Amino acid sequence: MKVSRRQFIKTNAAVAAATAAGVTLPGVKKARAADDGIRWDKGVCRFCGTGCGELIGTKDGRVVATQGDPDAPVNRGLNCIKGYFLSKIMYGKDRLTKPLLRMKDGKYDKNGAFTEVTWEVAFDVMADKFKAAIKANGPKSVGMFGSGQWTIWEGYAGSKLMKAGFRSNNIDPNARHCMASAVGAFMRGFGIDEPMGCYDDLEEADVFVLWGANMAEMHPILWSRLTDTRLTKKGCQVHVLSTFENRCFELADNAIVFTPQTDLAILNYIANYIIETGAVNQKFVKDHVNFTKTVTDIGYGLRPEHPLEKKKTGKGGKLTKISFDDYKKAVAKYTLDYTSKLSGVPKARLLQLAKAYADPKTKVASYWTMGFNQHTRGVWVNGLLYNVHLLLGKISEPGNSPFSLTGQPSACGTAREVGTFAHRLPADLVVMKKAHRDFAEKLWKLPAVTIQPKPGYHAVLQNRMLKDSKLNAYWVMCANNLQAGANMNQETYPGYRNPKNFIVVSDPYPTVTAMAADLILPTAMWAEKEGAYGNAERRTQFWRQQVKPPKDAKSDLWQILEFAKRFKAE
Amino acid sequence: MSISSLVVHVHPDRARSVSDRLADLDGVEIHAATADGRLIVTVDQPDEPTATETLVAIDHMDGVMSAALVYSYFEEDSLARGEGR
Repeated sequence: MKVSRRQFIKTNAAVAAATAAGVTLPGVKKARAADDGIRWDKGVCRFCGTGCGELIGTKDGRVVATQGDPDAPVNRGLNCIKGYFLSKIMYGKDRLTKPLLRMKDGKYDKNGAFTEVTWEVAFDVMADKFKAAIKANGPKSVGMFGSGQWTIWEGYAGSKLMKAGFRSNNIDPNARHCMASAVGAFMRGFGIDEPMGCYDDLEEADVFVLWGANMAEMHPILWSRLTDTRLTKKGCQVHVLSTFENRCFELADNAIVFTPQTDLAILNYIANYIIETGAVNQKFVKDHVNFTKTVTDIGYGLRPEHPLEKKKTGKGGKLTKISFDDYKKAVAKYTLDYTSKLSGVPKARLLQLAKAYADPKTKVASYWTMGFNQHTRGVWVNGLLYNVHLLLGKISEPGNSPFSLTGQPSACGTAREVGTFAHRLPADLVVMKKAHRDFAEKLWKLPAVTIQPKPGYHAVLQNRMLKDSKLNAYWVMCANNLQAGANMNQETYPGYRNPKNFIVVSDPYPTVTAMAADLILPTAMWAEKEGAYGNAERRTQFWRQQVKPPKDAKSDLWQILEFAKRFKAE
Repeated sequence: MSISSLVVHVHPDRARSVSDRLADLDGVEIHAATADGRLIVTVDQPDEPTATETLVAIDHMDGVMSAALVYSYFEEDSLARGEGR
């Protein structure tokens, strides 16, 4: 019997889904792969920090099919709905394919109209502007805004160009906005920016607690693993905390909607409950835990002249050693009555949550995303959750795992591990320490004292400095900051359009950020280039280039290297 | 032509009613169901916007706990005319 092509594809699709679910379809055999003319290779999804393994199918120079990789340990053949757009996003009608420079009367003009130019002209104008800025105002007047969507080597090349080439530390990624709190708490609590758990905890844990993470919609593949465990493991419980009801509440055994900011109090209540009921793991605490306190009146990171900043009396970051008894006293006021009143959460639910953590027989995995990390007290709330796990010794064991989920495919692998931040160098090293600078200079084969010891402008400060005309030549890659960043009307947009500045945006599409630039560089995306990402559990995954980018679009790595060639050491 | 397959995980108590509602959606076929509430589903639609709408409708359907995409094939119409050859 002749099978139509449509039926053939549909059968293969159904068989793939059945295989991923571990069932066989009666009477159906998978058609021979060779018949459809599709070439398959491995890749990785680019839409969130989960890091799902993909199979990418190309035919006639186009990506025509994608499939969850059945051998990938992260997703075991599944994708979420976002995966549907992996190939489609490359073929939008408004893809940028030529460099576009604002021009009037055949010359660059800040108020000119976007005009197609060659890469040669684009880089000539761009190099002139960067050189002029450095000559007039020094290396501090140039900067770069990168991304957790950079591949590992794009981030590495960007970091090296800025820190070793221009001798400017003004490079920071959009990951600053989403991950700074998680990093701050990791460094403060553990001295290293790496998680102690991994995705296998999704099967190992007995109790799951979500703190400000809408996993059901944002990390659906991890959520499907959690759902499987909840439905198949006896006694498994799911606690969901949020300031509003989200889809995770459908599976919640304990649903908690709390008044914003009172998660801090709830965490201290749990700590207090653990101490009061004698549930502290004394041996673990004695062997592994130090108690310290920090200054509490630290302001909000606003401009120094802002009234809220003027009022503050302390500076964040300084830790003072205290005793366990001091700590016990500090959390003692967070009783069930007080915390329930403060948070608006019924007492029974708070108690159920505290008991689930404190029960010596349960393994507890806690997950959070931006509910914690974009908190106005983000480092604290991360730290308070670590306190709960540390008091119980429920940490660094299969199933006992506090875990910060990430939003971008390589916020961990690129931004954090490469250290594309104003204060960082690769591998958790920092510019402030001489030994770290020496090490990076040796590896990068640079003369001593090339790398500057003072941190550069971080993401938020970059926008302020653009507005204040201190940062004059600026390159944005893999980020739509004008869409997604804070304080856009007050700082960012006026900064980009400041007549003293030259703004370059590399992007595959005419985003609002690209449209606010002076020069737009057309960028290759995903399988149009080779790359590697590091996901939330720090799994590093590579892919080969599958197809050519459209027309003159080029990878970010090519752009950085070609631009670098226009500069010589002086 | 846009053809995708999904594993749709529904609450076991509501598997029957969700299956019925899924089967009512245009272009949707259920190929198998497991005892623990997992349905093997294909979505066959002429173009991307319709396919996206259907996928979102499945994902948001009451009683669906998760809708995981497995395989996705897409061709522009001009390429799809070779169908049946």
